Parts: sequence; structure tokens; C-alpha cells
Amino acid sequence: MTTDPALHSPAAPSPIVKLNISVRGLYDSWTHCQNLADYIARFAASDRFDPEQLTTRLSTYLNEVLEFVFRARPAEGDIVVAVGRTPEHIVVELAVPTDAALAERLRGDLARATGPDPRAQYAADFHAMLASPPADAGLLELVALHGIGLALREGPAVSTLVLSVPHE
Amino acid sequence: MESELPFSIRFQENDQEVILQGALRPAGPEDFAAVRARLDHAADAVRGVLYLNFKRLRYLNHTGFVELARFIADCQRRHPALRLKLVISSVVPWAPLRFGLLGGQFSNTIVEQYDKAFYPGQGVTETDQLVPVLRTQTNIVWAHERELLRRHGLARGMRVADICCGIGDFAVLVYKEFAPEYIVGVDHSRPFLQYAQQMAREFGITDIEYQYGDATHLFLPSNGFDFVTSRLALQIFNDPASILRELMRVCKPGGRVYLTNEMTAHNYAYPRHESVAWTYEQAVKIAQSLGMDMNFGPKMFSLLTDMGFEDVRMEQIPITTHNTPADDFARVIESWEGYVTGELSAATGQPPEVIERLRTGFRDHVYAIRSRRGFAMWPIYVASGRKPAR
Repeated sequence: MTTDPALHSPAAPSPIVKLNISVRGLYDSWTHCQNLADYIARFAASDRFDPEQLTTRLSTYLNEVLEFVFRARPAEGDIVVAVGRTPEHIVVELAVPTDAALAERLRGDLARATGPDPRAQYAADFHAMLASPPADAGLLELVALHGIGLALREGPAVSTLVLSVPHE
Repeated sequence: MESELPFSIRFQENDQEVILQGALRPAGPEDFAAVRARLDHAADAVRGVLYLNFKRLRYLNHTGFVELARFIADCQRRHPALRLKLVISSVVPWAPLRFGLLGGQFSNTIVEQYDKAFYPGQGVTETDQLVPVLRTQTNIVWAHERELLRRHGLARGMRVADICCGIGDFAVLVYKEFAPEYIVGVDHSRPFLQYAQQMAREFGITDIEYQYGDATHLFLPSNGFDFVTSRLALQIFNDPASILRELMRVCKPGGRVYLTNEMTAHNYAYPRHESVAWTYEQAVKIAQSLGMDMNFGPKMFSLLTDMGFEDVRMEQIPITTHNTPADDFARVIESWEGYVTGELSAATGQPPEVIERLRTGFRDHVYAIRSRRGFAMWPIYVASGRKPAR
């Protein structure tokens, strides 16, 4: 299942970087999220126009998704991060091992984050969020404030989060 | 890189300012507790306005953002008379989006985009219309600088940073002449940087990095460059010392910071020298009202010395009718005429009679340049200093 494939799920380009991260390894430390996000972002932005700006943006977005996955506590296995480029976007795919319950949860979270008017949704939810931020709040913010395309592609025992980040 | 900057938070009670730097990515409220305690302490300690300075906060996760919003919401309840001023920079790409939202959500919160306030003349200094004059200026000055740079310490294979690089043509010339190990150009004008990138691409150059950045808060590593340049730039800011401190930070110990600036009041032409002198004095005053100091050139020696640079060297590039092609020289002055009587005068509301007199002075300058018996000069001051090794 892909949420709104026509809008949010560009054909996956050939990856320029692909990393396998063990779920257990990721759980070792919360700071792995930012270290991974920084590394992958710097790699993907290295030969682009204004690599520092692109690194900052990519790392910000990727970190948010990695933190979401960290909190989702997927089953044992590997998380696979692949980054590719299209002429208009940088496409980040993050494949997460899932069981039925987690797949269902990701489906629900992604559906909320990619609703019809995410900006209005985020503004409406904002004060309630301060009392108790929902798990998908960071994802909703990516779509609502930062204009990031977000989609979910499901396969057997794996769900893939797809981020489409405009180059500028 | 700046991403290596560890997270820090400090409260400067005198300035009623909390400065947050680095990467703030807490896992949850517990992880944020120490930051929250510092913020609460600051809010308790001040009256009126509390400044929250995020200019160098490069990363903030959504959890951290929500925790900051909670602090603001709690402040509104606990200190109803306290105003929070969030000082941000457009160089951090997520900051205007997130903090702009906070400004709309809380009545006690004002968001100030620092770099817009810091670059008061930016609207008139970054437009595409300036590109031809900047290119001509670089060409004229490069004829002298090519050798002069060596006297100020630039050599082959260095790591070079050109801050306020404008359209990037100086970086290209340095790249060709000095084959640096690495060269980066930073500017706060996206149109200029796009032009720079396009020009580099057309010249088949892929080794120059261009960055959008704020010269007072660079995303460049400390002690990272052998030679740091900032040409004809400090003069357009009302706080050149804050830029020079940043240039010093990114320069390696033992490396050199190299500056050029003008003394516009020293622009001279004969005949019709009185008309020319009036025009440049008036142009200096107009620029001054926008926060620029177009007579900054000779002050560089003092500034470098006061800031602790060693082996400060200073000289002058005398652009004159005797060493510069008349057409190029005249084109520069004609561009100034367009800029000063156009955008600068409009931005400062100059009356028509002043604009006309300004125009006459520029044209008299051009007359002197083109006249068989005229003489004209445009002095540029050059200074460099060595960052102490200690």
C-alpha cells in the first residue's frame, strides 16, 4: 500500500548511498539517530550547490524520521536507508522491519501526517500537542511546515517510509 | 563543520539574553530538563524582554521545538508582563518556518530575523543590476591584487574562505591563479550565489563551494582556513567588528585575514573636482543612513590591530586613469551613478534636486576619466593581519 502514490511516491532513483542499520544497534543510543542523519545528509549533499544548507535540511528531516522509527520500536532485523536523486528531489527511503501491529500503526500515523490539509491540521493540533505530543507529530510537521513529501510503501514484513525533499 | 559545535546554552544576564548553540535533539521532556531549567532561571531573573538567541542553533528536533513552545506557553502564564524575543537567522533553513509559527501562536512572543536587520542595505545591494559593475570592479582590481595577494600571504595549495563573496568571481580568479586545496565562498545574497554557481559551471569549475551564510555567524569550522578574505564588504555593515571576529575565528592560527575597503570621500577627479567631491561626500552620507561606512578603508589597520592580529600590513591600490583602461573605469563610475541615484536614493528618499546634483558629479568624474587632460582616481585600501599562533 502506498499512500497517495500519484502525489508522494516518485519512482525510486538509483541510490547514491545505502546503509543497513541493525535495529538493536540503533536502540543502543538515542544519539545514533542524529549521527546517522548527519552522516547521510552530509554524504548526499557533498557535491551539491551549497552543501551546508542542504546538509542542514536533509539532516533535520531524516533525523525526524529516524527518531520516529526509534520510538516505533520495530522488530529485530535491519533498517535500510537508501538515498537517491531525481532532477527535482532527493528521495530518501527508509525500510523498517514490521509485524502486523507495527505495520498497522505506521499506516495510521502516515495517514494522519499526509491528510488533505496538513498545515491546518498542524496549526489546529498545536496547543494540544504541547500537552501530549502524538507519535506522528514530527512527521506531520515535516509535511505541514517544511513541505516534505511523505509516503508509505508496504511489502511483506517491511514498511518503507519515502521522503521527497526538494533540492532547494 | 559547524555541526560539530556541541550544544550549549548560556544566559547573559546583562543583555537579558539566552544563547543556544549547536544541536538540540532531546529524546523527551526529561532529556530537555536541564535546558528548561536554564530557560526558567532566565525568565525568573529578568523583566521586560528576554531575548532567546537561536542564530547558531543549527539543529532542533520536533521534540525540542515542542519543549520550547511549552516553555513559552508556561512563561505566558507565570510572567504575563514578560516579552520573549526569538532572534533567528534565515541561514538556518528550518528556523523561520518553526519560529514564525510560534510568533503567531503566542502573544508574548516576537520573532526577529536577525540577518534581515543586520543587512540594512541588503535590498539595494544584492540585486541583479549590480552584477555588471561588480564584474568590472573585480577585473580592474584583480590586475593589482593578483600580485598584491602574494605580499599578503596567499600561496598555492592553501585553504581559502572568501566571505561576502558576492558573485563569486574573485573566488574563481583565486582558484585559477593559486590552485587552492579548498576554497569556499559565502554570501548572504541568493541571487549572487546563483550567479556564482552558474558562472563556475560555465567555466567548468566544480571545486569551488558556495554557501548561503551570514558573515557574523558562519557555518565554517573554527581554525579551518589559511587565508580568509573579505573584499569591499565590511564597509557596508554597521558592525564590521562582529564580522572581523568571525573571520578571525575561522582563520587558522598563523593564517591571515585579508580585507579591502574603500574611502569613498577620497575618490578624486580633475577638472570639475568640486562637483565630484560633493557627490562622493553626499553618497557617503546616504550610505551612512543605511548603516554603511563607505569611508571604512583607512580604519582597517586600527581594527585589525585592536583585535589582536599580528604583522598587520596595509597598502593602497591606486586605481587611476594612468593604470586602468578608461572604458572600464568609466563603466564602474557609471554603474555607481545608476546605483546611488537610483536604488540608494529611492531607499533613502532623496529629493530630485539632490539626485540631479549627484548625477552631475558622477558624470563629471566620467568626464575627467575620458578627458585627454583629465585625471581621476579610485583608491582602495588593503589590509591583512596574521592570527596569533597561541
